[in-house]
Amino acid sequence: MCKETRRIVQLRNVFKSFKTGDVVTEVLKGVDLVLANGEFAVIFGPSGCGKTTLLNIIGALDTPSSGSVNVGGQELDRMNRTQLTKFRKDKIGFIFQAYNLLPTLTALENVEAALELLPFASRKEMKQRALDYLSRVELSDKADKFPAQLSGGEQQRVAIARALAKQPRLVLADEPTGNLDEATSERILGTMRTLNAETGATFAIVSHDPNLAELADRVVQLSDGKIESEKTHP
Amino acid sequence: MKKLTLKAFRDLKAMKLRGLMIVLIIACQAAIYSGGLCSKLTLSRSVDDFCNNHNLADLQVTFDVTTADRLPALDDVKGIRKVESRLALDGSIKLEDNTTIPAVIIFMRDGENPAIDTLDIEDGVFPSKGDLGVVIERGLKDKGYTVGDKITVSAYDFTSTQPIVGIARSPEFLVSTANPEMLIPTPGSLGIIYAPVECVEKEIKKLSRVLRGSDPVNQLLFLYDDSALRQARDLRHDSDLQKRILARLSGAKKKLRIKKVVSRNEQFGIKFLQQDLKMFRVVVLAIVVIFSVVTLIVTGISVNRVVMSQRREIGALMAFGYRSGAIMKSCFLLGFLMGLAGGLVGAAASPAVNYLLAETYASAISLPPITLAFTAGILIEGVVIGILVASVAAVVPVIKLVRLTPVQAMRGGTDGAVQRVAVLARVAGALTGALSRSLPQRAAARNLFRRLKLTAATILLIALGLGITAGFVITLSSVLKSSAALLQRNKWDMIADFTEPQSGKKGLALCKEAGLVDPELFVKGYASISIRGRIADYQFVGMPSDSTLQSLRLTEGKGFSANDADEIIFNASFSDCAPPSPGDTVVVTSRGREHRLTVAGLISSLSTGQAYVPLETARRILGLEAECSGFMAKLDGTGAAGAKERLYASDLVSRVTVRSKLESVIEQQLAKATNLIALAVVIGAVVTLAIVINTMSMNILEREGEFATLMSLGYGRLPLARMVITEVFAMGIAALVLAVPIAVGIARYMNAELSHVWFHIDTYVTLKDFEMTLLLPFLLLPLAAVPALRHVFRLNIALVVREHVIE
Repeated sequence: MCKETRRIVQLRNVFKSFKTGDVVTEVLKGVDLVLANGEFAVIFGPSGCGKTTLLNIIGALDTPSSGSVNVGGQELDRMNRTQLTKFRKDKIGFIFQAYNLLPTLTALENVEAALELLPFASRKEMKQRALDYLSRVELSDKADKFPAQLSGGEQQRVAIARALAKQPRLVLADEPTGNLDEATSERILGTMRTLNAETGATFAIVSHDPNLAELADRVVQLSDGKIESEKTHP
Repeated sequence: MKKLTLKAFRDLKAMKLRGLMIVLIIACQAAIYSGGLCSKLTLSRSVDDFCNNHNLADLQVTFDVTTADRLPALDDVKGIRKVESRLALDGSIKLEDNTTIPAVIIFMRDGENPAIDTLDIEDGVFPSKGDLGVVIERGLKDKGYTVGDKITVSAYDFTSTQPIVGIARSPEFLVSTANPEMLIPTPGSLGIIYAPVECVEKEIKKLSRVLRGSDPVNQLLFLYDDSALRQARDLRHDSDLQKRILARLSGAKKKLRIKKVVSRNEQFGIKFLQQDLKMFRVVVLAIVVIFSVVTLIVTGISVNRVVMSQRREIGALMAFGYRSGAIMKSCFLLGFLMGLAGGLVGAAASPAVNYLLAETYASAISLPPITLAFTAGILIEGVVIGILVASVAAVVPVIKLVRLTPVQAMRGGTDGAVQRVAVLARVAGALTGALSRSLPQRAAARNLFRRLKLTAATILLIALGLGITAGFVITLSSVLKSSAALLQRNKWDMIADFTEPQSGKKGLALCKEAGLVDPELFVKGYASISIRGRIADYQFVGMPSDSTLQSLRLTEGKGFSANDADEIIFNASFSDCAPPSPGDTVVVTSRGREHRLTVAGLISSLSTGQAYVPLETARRILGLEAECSGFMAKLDGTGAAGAKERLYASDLVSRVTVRSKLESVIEQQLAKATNLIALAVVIGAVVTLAIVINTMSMNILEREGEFATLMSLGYGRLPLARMVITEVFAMGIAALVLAVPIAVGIARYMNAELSHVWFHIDTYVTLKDFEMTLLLPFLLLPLAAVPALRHVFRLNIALVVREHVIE
């Protein structure tokens, strides 16, 4: 496989700033980042260093102020809104820190909400896939519960199932274990690592959890909007 | 079912109180819209149905008393469905307190209910042939008469006391007045008696001898067939049939001396109702427009807020890859469902509004019982408007959100807006910090500026609600004051109308005998006037050009230049077509001769369609040289009752109008008629309450996270309540200030509309108008926050803090 096709994420000199009144805050200051296909990458950094912003840009949830963003061979900065939407639908699975489950849909329906966008032979097939992924995160018995009836950890697992059920090429997770206890965090991360190995999907995870460093193929240290260091584990 | 569709249904269910309030507001709009517009139909149809079912005459011709055998044949006149002749005499009724009121006695033959102008017996019976006993028109109930009482009537040269056997309503006297020139019905001021001919058999025989014939009659009533009816009802054309009938009557060998011709459209009751229904339509339409605009603004803002509160979910959906169209469709569905629910509830409630409006009005002017009418089209319109507004309001914010990146959508906007508001919030906080050390109050002031749009919207909505009610109250008092001002312009105390024109000398002598002073003679008659090619019958009033007793309120032009000037002044308020302008030339036709007159001016008065000309000019046109139809005069210090008695004692006098009585009657009638506007005030209060509760709830429930955090810090109910009440009063004061120009604007709009179809109404604004409508609701505003505050006090703090962020 050639070098270009091995790279699923390629950021070149990416800047991102936010303007609030007359004050301009530069969050990303010339980030260059490459993630390989199938990698399990973790992005560390202190609060406010731009980790979430970086993830949002990779996932086409936000746009850079300048620089080029290539994900899955597609230049995101050249895409229009419709193309970006299709890109997110086909290529990205996003796990939010605040879960962002739809409160009036059950756990199963939340997963199905993401799957409805994809072509399935039948609704039965779609439902089966949703149940499979809920089962992978050990929530088959809570399929008919609403988010308000689930604990924080259970909600996060639903969010993971929702992101992974699409079988995306790239899974982006923003502090997936930020609100969970140690035991649950370990389980969640283990599930994600297993799925990474099984499906070959690339994972990019923003986290404060030091345990993740041992699980990761690549550890990226971000500081003050720039990549301070990158380590690759064999 | 697609998940987004399912989400829309579930979101609606989860909204609970908020959703219910929005649905109720939409329902109010739909109910007022449909009920209001259909109420016009209800009134029109109820009147039409009664008149049609009771065969209201299409034409009534009054002539000097003659005998039936002298009437020309009319069988061959095409277009007549039925014709009846009758004797109807002007007379008087002596009341129990020995005062008299004018009366019309209509004689019936053969114990039969007339086939034209058929009576609707409400109480008692219709006298059979040979029975003695009269039927009175229901207006006399106001004078205390009931079935079984005796009533004394005088007419011609007889007086007769008869038992009352029945009380009836007649389409001919649907609304009656002793003074049809004043367009105010005064029930009981004119007594209508239906008497069998047998009651006055002796007198009838005497009259027959005088006339040298049998069966005296002085009126012909006509019913037209369908084709003639269509033409007659079309006000753009004069009725050919009417012309042919009059030509036949005038051209008969034994010519009838025609005194009065009244078509159905010119009949007082119908004319009053047509004008009054115009006013009703204007008032109701204004009510509908005002309420619709307010409720639709509230709906739009509320639904908008509901959708914006879901921006994080919308952002998440965008992150998943949902297309803009799918997201907009889901939000559209949410708005659609609310609109549909509200519209259907409103449609179901609209008959109640329809009934309330129509019945309030009908009972104020003693119309027959109403029959509710509606059209499916109007009901559907009411539902569709609610659906459209709610759906559009749901989609508009989404259109803006889907243009953003998912992250921006979750945040709810770009960064600039947040910064601007933060600056204002800090300024407000600093200002109030100088005024108060209390943190809740400083927080309240800052909160108002933190959500500037919502604060502005809340103030506007409260102001609109308060302004509506105040506007209607100002309109109410303006109508009463304007009518009083109009009457004040007239200095006469009494007007006497003669049965026949008399010489001026005789008129003056009668005036002196009655103890009245400063008389001014007038002449009256009917003539056709051609205005811009359109011919209409007008009542002519010839008055002294320099009259001191009757002051015409000119709205355009000027008064008469001389007592014999070829000039004319119109009452523009009641013409069926566009009135002429000062300087125009009109052609007056009377007694077969044409006279060209110049329009000197237009007036606004309480009179029906009348035209005023200088006295000598009127005498010339009507052929009444040196004669008069009556006089107006002042009291010399003796009581009106005595003067009235003396006037009625004369056979020459057919009607006496006393000004002091008329003032109180007009006030009474206006007060009754303005029940409609009072009803609008009540509806306004209810709608205002719904709007204010909804708005306060919206303000508070969207900040659950904030309140939960404050409670977790140790803030109790009292500080939180103080914070909310401070916000409420601050917004209330701003709303109060804004409500004043809104109220005046609404009143001016309504008065201008009413002035088109009634007399001219000036806008009078007094402090008293605002006391009950602005100050009291302002003091009660905090109560509107109670339901939402109670919800906040019962919050599960841990759950809410976990789920919500403070923005």
